[in-house]
Amino acid sequence: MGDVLFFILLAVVALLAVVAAVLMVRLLKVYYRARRLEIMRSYETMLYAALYKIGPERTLETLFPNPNRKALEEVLLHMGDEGAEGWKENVVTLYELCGFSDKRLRQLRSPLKSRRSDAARRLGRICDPKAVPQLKELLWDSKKEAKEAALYALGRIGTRESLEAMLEALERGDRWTQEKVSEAVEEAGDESRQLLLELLKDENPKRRTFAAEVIGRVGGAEEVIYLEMAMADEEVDVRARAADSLGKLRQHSSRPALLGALDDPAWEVRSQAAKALGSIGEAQDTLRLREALRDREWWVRNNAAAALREMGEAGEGPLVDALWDEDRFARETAAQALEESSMVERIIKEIREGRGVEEDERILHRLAEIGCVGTISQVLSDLPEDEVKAGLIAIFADIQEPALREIIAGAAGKEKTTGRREDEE
Amino acid sequence: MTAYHILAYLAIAFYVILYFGHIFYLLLGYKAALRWKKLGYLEEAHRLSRSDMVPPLSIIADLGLIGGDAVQWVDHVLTQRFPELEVIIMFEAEAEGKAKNLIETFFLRRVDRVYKRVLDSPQPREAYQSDDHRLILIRTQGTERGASLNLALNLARYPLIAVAGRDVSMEDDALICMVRPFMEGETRTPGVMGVELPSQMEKENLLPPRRITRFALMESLRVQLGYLAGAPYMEGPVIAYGSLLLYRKKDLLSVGGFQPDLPVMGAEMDMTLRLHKLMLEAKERYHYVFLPQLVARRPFSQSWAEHFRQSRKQQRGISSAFWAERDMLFRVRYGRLGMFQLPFFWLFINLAPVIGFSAYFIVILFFALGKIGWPVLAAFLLSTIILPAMVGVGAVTAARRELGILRGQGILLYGYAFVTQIWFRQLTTLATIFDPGRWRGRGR
Repeated sequence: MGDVLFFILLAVVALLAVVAAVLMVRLLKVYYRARRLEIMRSYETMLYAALYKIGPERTLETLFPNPNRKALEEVLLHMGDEGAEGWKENVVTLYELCGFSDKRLRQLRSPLKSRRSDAARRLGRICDPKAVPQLKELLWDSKKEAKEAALYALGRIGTRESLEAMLEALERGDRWTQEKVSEAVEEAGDESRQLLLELLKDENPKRRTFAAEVIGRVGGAEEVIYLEMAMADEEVDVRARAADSLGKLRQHSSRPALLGALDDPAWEVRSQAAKALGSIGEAQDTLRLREALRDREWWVRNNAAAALREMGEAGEGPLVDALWDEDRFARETAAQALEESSMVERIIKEIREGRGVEEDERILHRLAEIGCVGTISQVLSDLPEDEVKAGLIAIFADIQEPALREIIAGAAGKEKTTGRREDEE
Repeated sequence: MTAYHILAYLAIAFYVILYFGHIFYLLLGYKAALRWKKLGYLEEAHRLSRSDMVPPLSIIADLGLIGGDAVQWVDHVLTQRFPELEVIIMFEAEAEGKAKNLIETFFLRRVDRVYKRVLDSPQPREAYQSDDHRLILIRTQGTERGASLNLALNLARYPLIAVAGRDVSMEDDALICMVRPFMEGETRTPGVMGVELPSQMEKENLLPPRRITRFALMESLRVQLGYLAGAPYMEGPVIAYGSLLLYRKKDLLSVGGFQPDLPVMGAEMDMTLRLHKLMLEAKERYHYVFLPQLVARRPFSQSWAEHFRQSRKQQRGISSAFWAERDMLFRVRYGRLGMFQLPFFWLFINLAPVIGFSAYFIVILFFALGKIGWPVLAAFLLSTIILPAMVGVGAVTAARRELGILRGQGILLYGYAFVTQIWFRQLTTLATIFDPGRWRGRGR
């Protein structure tokens, strides 16, 4: 019994010792963190006051003869993050003078991936252009974290050299790298536009594809001609992205190239061209888009219908016309676009206001005839019992679509009931 | 050494192997969490939400499974920071009222939706759509959940698919964080999941008020941070399910869509294995991704009956998925998954509770009969109490460090973590073994 009690007590003492040790460590951590923050604050005040006035060399000599290196580096990195004009160069110089740059550049070759990525991120935060060649090598590191850090750092540095280095990473072909490169390109402003145009002529199709896509985001009217040339590229992706970008830039001059692309052998290009023509919204293009409703690929038909719908009144005629097309897919796609553009509701409103014409009834009849009764059913069931509804039911009398018959039967039933009640009253 | 000793040592070995396995996965999960932190997922979210390069996403949900106010739910999803998304909601007659509410609130209009019918699926009975095309409501009739998912897949316009589970509520920026692994191209990502927590947690993410929910939370933390987060390092997870899962539409179509006759959970579990199969057969480098980051909340069990019901449902899903893909067992072409992980799972899912309870029974019996001494009994108790407690405490520590939740409830928290691993999981698993409907899915 005594032994057991002894072991229990020993276990309790051991547990208490562990708890005490944990608490002590936490306490020390908090203390050191607070102290470091205080030091950093004082460094920051000194640097902001001195760096601009007396320059980095003298600041280091006079104010920081024996600094807390960790705290000083943190403060400099923080200043690098802010990246204010006029300060940037001074901060980079001071970072170099303190020997941080050399240390981090050496660490880029460390066998530890965490050290490599940390060093790259620090060099990126400080925006040191001298680090570009080494960071460029790190883009092909075997570890994802290191590659990611290199990409981040090069993007932050943002010089032409670093942008060119980043473009090499496009070779990987993944969307994430493209995203990071495009961010850097966008931030670089006008300089990057020239770079993108050069890239559009690159031998590498991945780079051409990237350029064709990003020009749509950062380009203007001047770039349209280059995108039109890219529409003749041998790569499907380049042509498709160029068509998409032309749609984003919305220049009327690019219509001929886009109309030509509606005959492209690749459906990806045809569908993007249809979408782009919709964005430009030129009424003359409706006929070609109407033809695209008969395309063998669903996406092309879908985008052509969406484009015609976006064109408003100009696109409505060809869509109505397509309801009588011999191609079932063209008919149904056009019907969906017309339903989405609230055409059924508009026609019924006009009929209710006494402005309905024979053509309107013909369209409603045709929609029901080809089985597109979704909106019609909805509208019929929402209509009050009156002559208009009775008239509409009469229009659909010869149509055997079950869903519609169900609605009509329901409406007729209601009518009968209402009639009987009226009689009773 | 007698036969009694050998049996007792085997019992100890069983528990040591089992819990060292758990600890190993917990460490892998911790490694994964560190990695995600370094890659800065949260920091990138804001920037990504404005990018044109983020692949657009279709979210599929079943109106019958959306708990609470469906209008609020849809509104919350539509206001997620994401460049381009659409929400496809399926409903049947029983959710008529909720559907009507959605139609009225979002001014949905009935249309005849033309879609590309890639998968075999039932026809939609009715389709409603918002003017901006971001919300689509589809009425089906007498359709199994799996088949309904396939219909939604046919209707989805975008290359990424998110499947929302029962009563899920998404965290802000969940989708934008979950989309990133699909953009990274080093290895293919068949699916992305994230951490889910109970919606009943007290303010500042403290323990939920009910005891059963607390136990369920502890076990869920172990599974999520201790297994799902670490499993991708070991070519896993064998089975993945969650309130919010993201897939690539192309992959889902390549495997022929979801099993039409399964419920959503079963269909998701089965999909994990089929996607593994697809990737391994194509000799692709791939890994599932589990983000050690809070992406969703859902109500956890509030009573024992509910808890057992849910666990049974889960077990049935696992069993159906395993049975459906049993041809992967012991096949070299399916690598570590087919040769080790699947057989191990079969064994542990089906036999672990029985072996575990038998081990307890025989060791205590042998000690009572004087066949083994107290050092063996002490070693057994250590392996069945200390090791599981380490697993539980490890999961809670990971949750506190990685998710920043459950802070400030020290002893109570670790007490639950400790106790849960000793009996809660075992009892839950044992209860599911006696479920008569367990093997129902096998006849498929």
